[in-house]
Amino acid sequence: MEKRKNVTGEEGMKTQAFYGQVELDVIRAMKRPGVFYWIALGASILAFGGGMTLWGYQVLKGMGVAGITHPVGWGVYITNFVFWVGIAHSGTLISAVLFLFRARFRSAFNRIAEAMTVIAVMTAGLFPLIHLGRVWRFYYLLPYPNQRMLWVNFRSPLIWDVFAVSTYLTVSVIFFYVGMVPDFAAARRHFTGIRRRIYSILSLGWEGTTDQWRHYSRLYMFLAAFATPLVVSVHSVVSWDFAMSIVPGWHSTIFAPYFVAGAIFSGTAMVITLTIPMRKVLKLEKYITVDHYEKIAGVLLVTALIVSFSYIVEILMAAYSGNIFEKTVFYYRMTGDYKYFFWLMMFCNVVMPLTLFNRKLRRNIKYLFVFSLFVNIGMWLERFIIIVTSLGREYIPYSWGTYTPSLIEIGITVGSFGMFFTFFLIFSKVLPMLSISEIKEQGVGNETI
Amino acid sequence: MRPLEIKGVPKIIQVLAAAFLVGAVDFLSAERSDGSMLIALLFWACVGQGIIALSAAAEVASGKWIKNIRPYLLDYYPYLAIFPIVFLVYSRHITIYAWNTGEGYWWSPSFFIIRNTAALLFPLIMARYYARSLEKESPRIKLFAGLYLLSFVISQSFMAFEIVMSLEYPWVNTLFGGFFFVESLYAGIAFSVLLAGLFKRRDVECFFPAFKDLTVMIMGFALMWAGLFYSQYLVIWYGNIPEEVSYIAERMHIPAIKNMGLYTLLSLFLVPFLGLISRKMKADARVVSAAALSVLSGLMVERIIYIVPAVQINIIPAALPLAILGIPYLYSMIVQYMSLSSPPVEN
Amino acid sequence: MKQFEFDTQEEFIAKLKEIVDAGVKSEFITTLTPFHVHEVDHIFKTRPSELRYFTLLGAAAGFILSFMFMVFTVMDWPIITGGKPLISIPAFIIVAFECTILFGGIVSLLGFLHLNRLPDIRRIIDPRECGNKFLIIHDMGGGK
Repeated sequence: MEKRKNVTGEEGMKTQAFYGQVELDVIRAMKRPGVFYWIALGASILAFGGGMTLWGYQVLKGMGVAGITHPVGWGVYITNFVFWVGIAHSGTLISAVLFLFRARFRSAFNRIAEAMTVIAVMTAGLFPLIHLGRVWRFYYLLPYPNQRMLWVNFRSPLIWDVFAVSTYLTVSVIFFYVGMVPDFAAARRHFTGIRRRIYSILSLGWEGTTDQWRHYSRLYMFLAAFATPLVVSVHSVVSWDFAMSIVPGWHSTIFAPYFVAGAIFSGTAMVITLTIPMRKVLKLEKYITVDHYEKIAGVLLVTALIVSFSYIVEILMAAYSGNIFEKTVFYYRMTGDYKYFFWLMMFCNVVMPLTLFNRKLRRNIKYLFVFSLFVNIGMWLERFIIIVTSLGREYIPYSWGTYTPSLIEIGITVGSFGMFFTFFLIFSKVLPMLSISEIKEQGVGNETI
Repeated sequence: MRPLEIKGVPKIIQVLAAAFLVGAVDFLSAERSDGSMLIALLFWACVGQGIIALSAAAEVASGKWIKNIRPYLLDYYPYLAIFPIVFLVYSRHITIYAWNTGEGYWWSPSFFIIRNTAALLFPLIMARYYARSLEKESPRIKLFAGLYLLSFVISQSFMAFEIVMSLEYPWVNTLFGGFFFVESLYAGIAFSVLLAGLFKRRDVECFFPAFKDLTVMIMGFALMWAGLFYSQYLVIWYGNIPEEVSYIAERMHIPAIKNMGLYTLLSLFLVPFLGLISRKMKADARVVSAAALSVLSGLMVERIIYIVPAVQINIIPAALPLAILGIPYLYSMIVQYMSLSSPPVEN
Repeated sequence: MKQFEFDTQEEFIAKLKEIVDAGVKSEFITTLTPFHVHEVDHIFKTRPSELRYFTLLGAAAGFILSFMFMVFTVMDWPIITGGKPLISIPAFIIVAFECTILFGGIVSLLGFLHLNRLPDIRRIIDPRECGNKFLIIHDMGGGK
């Protein structure tokens, strides 16, 4: 027995030191913000505020200040909507889907990914309202018994959107919060005063008894199991906003898996864009390692291949079918007014990801950061091209036209990025950014894969 | 696991015999039964390519569960040679295609036959490299697995768009190629779980993880199949464009075909998904095998639904090739099962 | 009341096994751990969590209620849009699916809070801190 005590004594100290260190590292990230943080936060708030001001201007003056008009009635606002919903999806993929696959490398990213999901869905949800123009009429979309004696049209993809995105927001917030309850309990130990009280309340008095953990594990698994079909269904519903029409270039059965793969692709790139500077600044390199990035780059590669396959099928089917309307739209995409955007998109989404076949590049953090920026641009352009070129060559040639985003629209787009980064920076100081209990569970020396 | 050497009839003889018999049935059958052979070709190409694709996908994703069953799955790769040969035999029916006027460069019959035979031959070549690299335990095995997957995607897309979709001109369905290769993977999973369930009876522990994970995968693919099916149905139904919706209308208005459609929904989604929800069912090899058989039968019926309004199908010329092409697979399954009487040595 | 504190998971499980083997019933034992230790469930031989009933109830309610609601709205204001039938199942499935997940998630959360008796006001004000240690607390004699 004595011999056992000795060994466990050392083991015990190492284990306790590890647990303590995890908490300290994560909590330290929540404490004193440095200069970089304030600069970044200031720039984000500036952009966010600017965007909100421009939106206010648009509400005052009317939708004419935006560039959307006949025939292109959907422009940058809808592009941003689809873009941000796409970003949200990969967060859920990393936290929920990889949980169900028991992929351990997810524990380094999953809290950040969930936060990204929640903030991105909030940002995305704003855009249909911005696009609405008369925002005060938004309640038309809600199905409640009203004095107008009207009901919403449940056969419309726009209503499916309302249900899909609000369900996604609700379930993501629940999933995010539930994951943090034990970590709030850990965090309250390290703060005093009002911050301690807030974390205590948020932790709901969590103790960590057997029964609590038992129900918690089940809840987490069920929420992950619910979030998983949401990843596929919500972006499928968003893609059906387009596919349900009979606009050439939009009415295509491949849209659902194409958009879902594209969402995961762009969102994973955004995870990389966010976490690489963050781990440097907050000194979390021990927890988010190169091995993790290699696996995430693998996800990027697979989804890039699916997206490339979809591009090829769409273009070849346009030629294959002999349908003159489809052929016109795709020819316009490749050689028309927006051809530079199209070929830049092809380069960013099809050609560049092929470099990820090289293992050294997958493990090169600097390369992954630059690469992820290209992918973000490429995927934004993809949504823009799909929407604008199809609408620009829609029905009869008399009504063909082009679209130029106005300064208001560009400003609001920049504002949405400002909103996203503002909330993300605030989150990173206020909430625990790594999943403390999961990392502890994985054990000493296993904090990497 | 040692790579397996199956004793018995050499694979090349099986391949040639099967192809010859199918050809014989086709030549001896009535003049207008062009679709009968197509069902057999489509179904067994789906299963055959799917088995190898499953192994390759797990290889690329570094899935540990497949390690022990992989050599058994890769043993089926020579049968991929059947399909180009059967396609060549089928190609005498090329007159059923509406575009067969010989105009244009792409739509010339001879080019059609050449490119589709090549598309069916390509996976065989890649599977051979993959199987060889497994035997030699080459470090480049992931590369060959990836190349097989590329050839698999191309081959299934060609099968879907060229052989099946062009029967129904002017119907275009961009998801059809993707749907075919997901169905092929699904068929591969169903077949593999039949194999794993069979091996489980010998109580050899090294196959248990494969069986467990394949069961979960059946459920996942049931959902994925339902999702992709729904995507296609919803878009075509909602758009209501005459050239697209006529495809569905033809198949919903004939009661026999509509019932077949309901059967596919049942057997490809409801039965595997609902039947395997409870943990007890997932552990029972008989239930899981029943689900796998339901999946395979559903896929077979689905091939019929794809082509039936456009071609003539007579029962004997349809059933015989289906059975004939299945015999090599059944034979190999039995031989592999018998070879397990002495538990294999684990690496 | 006896309280045991451990630094590592392994020591904790070994001691817990000892206590349970010595005859102390699981209802009288409380353990506090910094993360979920699955072996504890095996040792206590707990039944699977009752949360699954809440989840099933919520999901089924979401599906049925949403379908009922949609059919009601379309019968209440029967206007044909886009040439689609009034009760168009393919379109309704999507909203029903989303509502299934929505209700399932919310009811699961409520069930979790109910089963764990959270929020626990007493513990919010005065948390029982165990740090990162593994605790066993039991109040029956007969154990070691």
